[in-house]
Amino acid sequence: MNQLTNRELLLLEENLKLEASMATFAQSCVHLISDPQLRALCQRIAQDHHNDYQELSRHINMRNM
Amino acid sequence: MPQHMNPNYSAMATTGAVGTTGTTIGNAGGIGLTDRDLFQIMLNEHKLMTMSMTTLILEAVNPQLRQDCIKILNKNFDHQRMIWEAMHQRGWYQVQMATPQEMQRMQQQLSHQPYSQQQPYTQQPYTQQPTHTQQTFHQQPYMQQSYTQQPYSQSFTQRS
Repeated sequence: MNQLTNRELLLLEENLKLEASMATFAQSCVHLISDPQLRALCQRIAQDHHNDYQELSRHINMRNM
Repeated sequence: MPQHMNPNYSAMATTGAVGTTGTTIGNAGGIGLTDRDLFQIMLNEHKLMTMSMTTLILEAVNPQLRQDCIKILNKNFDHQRMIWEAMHQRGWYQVQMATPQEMQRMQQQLSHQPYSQQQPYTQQPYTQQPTHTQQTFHQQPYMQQSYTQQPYSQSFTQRS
């Protein structure tokens, strides 16, 4: 298994934070937004970013096993 | 919550463009945020995320990591487009089309220095290029002109 470079690790960390923040924010918007169409879009975006977070985090977890 | 995700912080950056078309929502901080405010924040955040993910892709050594990130980046582009379309349909994101005069100016600029007539680097080093070519570049540098007219940070505020 290839190891991550320092740069990859730093940038992964940054992107993981962004993915987590966006997933949380979009999920909050589901409860705050009044327009049903926009609410549905927020729900989809929240779910996608949650999945992206999981996918990215695998690159770190795989290497800790 | 990081500062860049603070709704109050982002909403302040778009204060000039926030109208009354959205429904006002009360939040824990006591400041009302409209649907429009929330979508503006989401749009800005997606722009930031695409830049950050692009950097990761450009710096990635691991091929699997790179592939996964490209997939995520493409999803971010799709999100950004959906958010933008939702905002545009509601009149929350106005765009200004280039005028015929601006198009004509650009066409004239291109005709004065067509790309096909430029000397390839391999045949003629930069220092040996004809004087008139250097002057044209000096007078109208492409990058400098674009950034001067509409800085990226300002465009966020203006377009909201």
